[in-house]
Amino acid sequence: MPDSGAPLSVTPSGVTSAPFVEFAGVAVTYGAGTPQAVAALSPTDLAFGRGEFICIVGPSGCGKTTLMQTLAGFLPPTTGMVSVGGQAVRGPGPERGVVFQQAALFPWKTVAANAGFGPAMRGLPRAVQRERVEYWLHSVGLWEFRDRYPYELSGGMQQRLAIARALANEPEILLMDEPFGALDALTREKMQEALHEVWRSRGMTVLFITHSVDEAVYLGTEIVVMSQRPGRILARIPAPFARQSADSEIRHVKASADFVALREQVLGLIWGENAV
Amino acid sequence: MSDLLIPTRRQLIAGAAGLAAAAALPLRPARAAVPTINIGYFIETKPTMIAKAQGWFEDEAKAKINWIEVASGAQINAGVVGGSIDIGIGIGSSPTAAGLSQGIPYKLIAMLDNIGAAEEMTVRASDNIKSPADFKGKKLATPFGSTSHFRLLGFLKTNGLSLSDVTVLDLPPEQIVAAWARKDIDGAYVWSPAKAKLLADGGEVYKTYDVLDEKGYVIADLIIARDGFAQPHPEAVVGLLKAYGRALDLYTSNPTEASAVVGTAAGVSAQVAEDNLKEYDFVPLKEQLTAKWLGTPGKPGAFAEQLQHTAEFLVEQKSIRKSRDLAVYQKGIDTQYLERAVA
Amino acid sequence: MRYLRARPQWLVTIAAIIVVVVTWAAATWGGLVSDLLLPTPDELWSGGLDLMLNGYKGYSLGGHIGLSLLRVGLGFGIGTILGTLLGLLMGVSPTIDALAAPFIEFLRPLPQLAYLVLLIVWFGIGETPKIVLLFLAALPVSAVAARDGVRNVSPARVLAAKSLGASRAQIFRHVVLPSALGEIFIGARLSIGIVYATLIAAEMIAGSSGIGWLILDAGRFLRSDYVVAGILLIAVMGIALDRLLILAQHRIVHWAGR
Repeated sequence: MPDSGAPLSVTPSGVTSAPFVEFAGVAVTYGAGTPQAVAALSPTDLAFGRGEFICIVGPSGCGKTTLMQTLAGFLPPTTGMVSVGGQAVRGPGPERGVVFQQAALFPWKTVAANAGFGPAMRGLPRAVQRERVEYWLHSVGLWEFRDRYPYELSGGMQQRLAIARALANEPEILLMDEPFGALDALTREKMQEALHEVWRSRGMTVLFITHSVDEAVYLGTEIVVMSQRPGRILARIPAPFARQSADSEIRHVKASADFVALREQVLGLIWGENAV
Repeated sequence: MSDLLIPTRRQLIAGAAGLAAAAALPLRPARAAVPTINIGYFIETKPTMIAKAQGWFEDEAKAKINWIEVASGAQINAGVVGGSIDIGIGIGSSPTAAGLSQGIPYKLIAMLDNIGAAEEMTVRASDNIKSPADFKGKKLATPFGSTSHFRLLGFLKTNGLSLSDVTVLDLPPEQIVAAWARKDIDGAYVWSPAKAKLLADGGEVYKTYDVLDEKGYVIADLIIARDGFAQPHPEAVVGLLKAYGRALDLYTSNPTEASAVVGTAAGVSAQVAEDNLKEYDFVPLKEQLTAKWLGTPGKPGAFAEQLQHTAEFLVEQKSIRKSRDLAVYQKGIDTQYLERAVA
Repeated sequence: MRYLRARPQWLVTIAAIIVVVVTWAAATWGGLVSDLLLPTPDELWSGGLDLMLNGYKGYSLGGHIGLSLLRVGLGFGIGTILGTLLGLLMGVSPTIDALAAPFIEFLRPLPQLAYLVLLIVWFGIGETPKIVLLFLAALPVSAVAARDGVRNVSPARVLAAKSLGASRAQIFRHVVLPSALGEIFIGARLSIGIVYATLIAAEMIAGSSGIGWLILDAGRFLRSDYVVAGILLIAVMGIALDRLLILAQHRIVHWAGR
């Protein structure tokens, strides 16, 4: 059960191990030092442990993506430091897989070559490459399409391939920036279920950005609510549903009173902030 | 739509016809007045340049002249076909033979010169070329379509050489000089000043013209007049020839003074002009009216046969489709203007 | 009007061609236009046949075509390959771009005839100046196309490749290069058009062979039958070359526009 009595309190995620990912005073200002400087992210502290599924929600332009990009290594923070396992992040790396809102696949490569891109670039043994491609394409239901090209796939299939591509690299952390944002409602729900399965079975750490509170409450072990720009963290709310029994149907979970209550609580935070 | 349009169109046509008639009326008495004469010419070291520089052509023809510099006889032919050239001065005998064979509406009205030794084969002295057989495997350049080209091909044919024995390249005179300096070519068939430059730069003459002239490969530089111009304006044509006659007289009587004028007009030194002028056999106007050359009206001279022979050779070379009966070339020479100019 | 509109487009095309051919036949056979300006259809036919059977001034027709295609092939091939390589380097390295851009920008709009004489002085009168001329026509277009292709690579794909562990060289090989291929092909098609248009200028240099020279030489004596036959031939060759490139483009850059 979430601690619904203290909505504004910033609570630890409930995992006792030492923080795995840590944002320490991370702030980003675009065009720093110029008159056009725009503060995108206020100094932010955020730490969480291995195996967490952190969902970040907040209004458009609140700096969610900026925060994620500092962890991906695409964007150096203006101040502060991001570290993973105690090591400072200095650039992109294969231990941190990224799934974008637009699939960003390689259209000149087959589905299989897209999925196997990471292992191939890192020079893993061919047998391992083949095994991973086969495993992850089966996992996302694209094995029959392995010899096709991305442009022959639907939007949902492309996004599944992007996830398979990130996962075939077996990253320790998976960063996902509104990966289901462009999908229709039905596909989206199926994708949520599939991602949930993968996370449960592989136990990797996930940082997941979404506009959908519903999605965040269903998938996350913790929901981080951010304010409008320049973004800062308003609240961190633990969510229990991700760790509940695997065989519970998504529609049953989402219809439960607890789920609805938590969702309303998060929505209240977002709306409350926006009403100010 | 059409109901409205037809009367409008009729009115337009009626209006246009009226305008044309009105325009034609005042023009009729002015028919003797000569319009601006479009003359295609080469910048070259010839006495014609004296008459041009002194304004004698304008004076004698009593007309304004629009001077059009050309680079080849082919351009004069094309200009006459298109109606943009009335008179061509210095056109070679081979493009003229081609033009008469093709029915280009012009007449040969006078000669400038019998080219003779002025266009000749120049070879590298170091190559030790002494007989036709020594030409095998050599690279020769000439401006294609010119009288020199015609002579060179005649040389190859009369000596049993084919285009697989000798490489013949198409280069304008100034590029022949550059190619010679780079040693890209072994010889060239060309005129001065290019020829003179090759001779000064390790070249020697390989004489071909005397034998070729005998075998019917005579080449000459000529003056042609477009029928559509000459027929309504005979006086102007006679005037132009008179002007050339004056220039030729000056050259004959005072070559030094003439060379200075020619040099200035052609953009070379008086000395170079004088040297170049000496190479040509400028046939006096009266001599042109003899049986050896153009003949007189009704009694065509031997040059018509040269034109026909040239045309036959051009057919062999695929340059023109067909040659004509001798009568066509005889009719292509019109000496009435020349006769009046020397009278 | 309505039933006309219902006709398929190719009928309109064919009708247009028929109108032009009939007008041409009527104008030339009727004596309205001199055969120095335009050959009659039967003259064109016999002229074309004659070229095919007997060749022209020292070379068979196939020989002229072959030499022209060899020049176009070498000039275009070398120019496009080196231009593309240069463009890729310019796209990747701002320093190389700064070094090469002024020369490329200078060369690109320059009419090839402008430096024709220099090429003869530098490279003589053999095949070299002809191929260099065509090479210089192809080079800048291909370089600019390749550079723009590199610059227009999707940043998201580069970031994706980076987070999958690709090195700089791997990103170039697997992301930048294939991504630029589309624009490289567009550049190649532009460049073959320019090279082809430059062919006549190239064959003006001390010519005695090639289909472009054939047209020029026949024009000297107003042999309109050879000229028109040569023009038809050069047009068909040009269309064929372009189609060949389109075919290659569709096969190689199969993902483009999808």
